[in-house]
Amino acid sequence: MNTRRVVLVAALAFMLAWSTLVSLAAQKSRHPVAPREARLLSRAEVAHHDRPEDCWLVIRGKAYDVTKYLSAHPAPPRTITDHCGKESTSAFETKERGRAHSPQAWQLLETYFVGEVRD
Amino acid sequence: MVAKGELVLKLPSWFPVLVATTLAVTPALTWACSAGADALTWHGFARFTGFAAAGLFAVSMLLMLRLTWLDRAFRGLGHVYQAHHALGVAGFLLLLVHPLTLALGTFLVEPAAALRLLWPNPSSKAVFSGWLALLLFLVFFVVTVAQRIPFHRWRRLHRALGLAYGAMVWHLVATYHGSVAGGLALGLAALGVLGFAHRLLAEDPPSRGLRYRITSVRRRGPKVVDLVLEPLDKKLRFEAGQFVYLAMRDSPDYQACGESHPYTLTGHPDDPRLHVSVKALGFCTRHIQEATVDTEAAVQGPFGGLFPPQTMNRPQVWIGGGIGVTPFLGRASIIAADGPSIDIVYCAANEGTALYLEDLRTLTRDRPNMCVHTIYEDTTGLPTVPAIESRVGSLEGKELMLAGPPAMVDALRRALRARGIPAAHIHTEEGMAR
Repeated sequence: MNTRRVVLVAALAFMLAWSTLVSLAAQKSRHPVAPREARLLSRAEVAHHDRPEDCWLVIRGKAYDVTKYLSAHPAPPRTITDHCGKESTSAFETKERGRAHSPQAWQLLETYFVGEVRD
Repeated sequence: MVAKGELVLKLPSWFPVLVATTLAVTPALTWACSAGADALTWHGFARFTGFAAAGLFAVSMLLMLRLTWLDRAFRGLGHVYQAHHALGVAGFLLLLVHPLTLALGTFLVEPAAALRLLWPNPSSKAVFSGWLALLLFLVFFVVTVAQRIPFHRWRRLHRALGLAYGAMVWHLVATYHGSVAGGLALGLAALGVLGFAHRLLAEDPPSRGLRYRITSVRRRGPKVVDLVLEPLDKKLRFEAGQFVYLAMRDSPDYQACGESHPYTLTGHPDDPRLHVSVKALGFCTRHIQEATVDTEAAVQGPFGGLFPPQTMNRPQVWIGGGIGVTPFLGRASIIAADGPSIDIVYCAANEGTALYLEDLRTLTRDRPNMCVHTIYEDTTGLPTVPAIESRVGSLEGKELMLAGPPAMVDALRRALRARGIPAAHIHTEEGMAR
């Protein structure tokens, strides 16, 4: 197969794969997961979830189970796993570099809500 | 002690390609090594392809430079351009995989988040710059690599790929998190920017190069003109059979096309003048047919590796088609009468179109070790391997130099490989056209 054909076939395959992913993602997004029932948690309870395979974060007084999200995070998972089971408000608000997460990121965080944290 | 230039030529021909590819994938491999198990996830694979694509594009940008040391290392500028082309296409394929695997990894966890990655979202610099780069690469690759368009248009559009490369650099900056791999990718990308700037500002302008002046214009055929140029200041040093990039400059009698193109030097290396033959194959070469005496030209080079030094003392067969025989004119002029046996096979449509046959016969008259043969397509058919062997005997154990139209050279090279001739014995100057 010559280069011309490779480039054309690759471009067509890309467009096909892209449109399939877009339609699947749009379809799934229309049926969001029902909000979980809020519960009250202590910091000690949250502290048990301190491993990459069971990772909860405390952000602004709420606990989030982000275990499933680790592999989808744009930055290396270590940036999250270092905070598993801990208070992570400052880290999330500043990305540890003084840069804020986008409104979409805050919105996405709510889908991993587990419960309120009492001090 | 081995001189630096000789050392380069002692290295195997695949070595510079290996070095270029290794350099290109260094950021990706560095990232994979530092990521550990993360490298085996969809997101890990996406990052690997992203770093690899960036590295391949960056090195591809460096391989479009017309540098004599690159020409020597790759045994000819044509091979440098072939590597530029191959790395660019590989980078393009990996670039297409990058956002798809990134979005797929996200889709499996959070479909709504995947949607935000599948669109050039202006609120995220990282996503927007990435999509901008991808869309520009996609458009310019489809237009310039996958389409057959006139050379001067292709050249302009291919140059516009620099915009896509700029967007890619922006994406690398926007996604940089302080990692070693990110730093390496940015460093390599910066080198690519410098390479692009050098090509654009120091090589492409028709005023750049050694200054020469046309002293003689001789019409050789309806579409071919022979030019002789004398140096206005420094003289170019070259080896017989090499070529130069030549750009005409405006004069009172001649308006130049503003582009530089490669032309074989047909004269003797000791002659301070340059002899070139120009066939009207496109817009600019048609224009040069009208060039007049006293027109100035800028010359860059010399380039070319059709006659590797290690083949000098071995029996050779030179096979040329049409204007492609011109490297043999210069080369034949330096061959000693007691040198190795050399057969020249001149392929043309008929005797009337074999414009340089008499020149070759004159050059080989006093050299008993050299013999000129002809294959005329109109009467004896195409220059196939059996047709060539029926004239020069078995090709086994001989060094074969092929020059001529790309289709002819490509077909002959395949036929010779099928005949069992090792690739190391087949020498070409391919890859110069695009």
